Amino acid sequence: MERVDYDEYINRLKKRSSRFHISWEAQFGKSPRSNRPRDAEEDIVLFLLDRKRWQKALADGSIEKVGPRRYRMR
Amino acid sequence: MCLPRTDGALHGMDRRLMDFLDSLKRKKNPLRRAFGVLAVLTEALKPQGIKPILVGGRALEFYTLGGYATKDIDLVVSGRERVKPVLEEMGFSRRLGERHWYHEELDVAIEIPDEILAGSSEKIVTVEIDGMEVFVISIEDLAIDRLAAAKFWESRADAQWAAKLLALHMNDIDLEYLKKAARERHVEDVLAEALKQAEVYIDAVEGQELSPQDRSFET
Repeated sequence: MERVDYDEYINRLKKRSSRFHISWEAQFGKSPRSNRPRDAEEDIVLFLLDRKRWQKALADGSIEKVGPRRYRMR
Repeated sequence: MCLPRTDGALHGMDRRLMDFLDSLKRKKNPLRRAFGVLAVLTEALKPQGIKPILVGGRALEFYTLGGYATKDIDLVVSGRERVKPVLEEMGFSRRLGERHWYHEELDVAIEIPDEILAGSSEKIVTVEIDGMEVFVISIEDLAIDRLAAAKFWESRADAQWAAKLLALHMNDIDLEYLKKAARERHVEDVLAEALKQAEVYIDAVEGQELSPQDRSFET
């Protein structure tokens, strides 16, 4: 079985991935946004996770609301 | 790490900014890395009175804290040509015919699609990061942008994202401004639908917050 070093793999791939992405957009224009809506159940679950992530970030201080329309990111 | 304000000239960027930029290469969280890069760019452009504003998918990624993910950083910058030497100094490059500036080690690609913000500069959100600032299009204007895509590009996924954005940040939204902006962009109808969908999301949160014991009585 082949063993893969995750960090090394990602580092190697991300450089190539960036180049492909940029070259594609230069040649064919901005990729259209995905038009496919999520089904209702999946959509709600993902929303609840989004909300939980905000709550967690506010609780652990990685994001702090320091005023109206003002945040601090750690 | 908190960087003091830099008042240095644009060229020969402050060493501390360059060191900070270098430290970002080790950050694994792509959103945090992107915001670090933007903080450096914003700080470096300050002496010229240029204020880059984050728009598009990366702004949505911030407001959903990664629920939406994208590769690009789209900026609105008045006088975008003046950004070029700063990006070059930061180690970004751009090949002939390409719109994106990219930095392989930081794994970040920047595009400046517009010079004028589609929305209110008064409503912009400021994110402080390591003593510097990043400016982000407001939740209201970003929602309107997604609703315009939903209506005029028939992108239902964008309508969902707008509704999520509104539901996540309902307490921070200037509803009067949102409705006014929707009228101006001719998206009042899709805004009404998005607000209804936002209520569905909020109801789901309330349902989820019932204790398991409460739930057993629900039928």
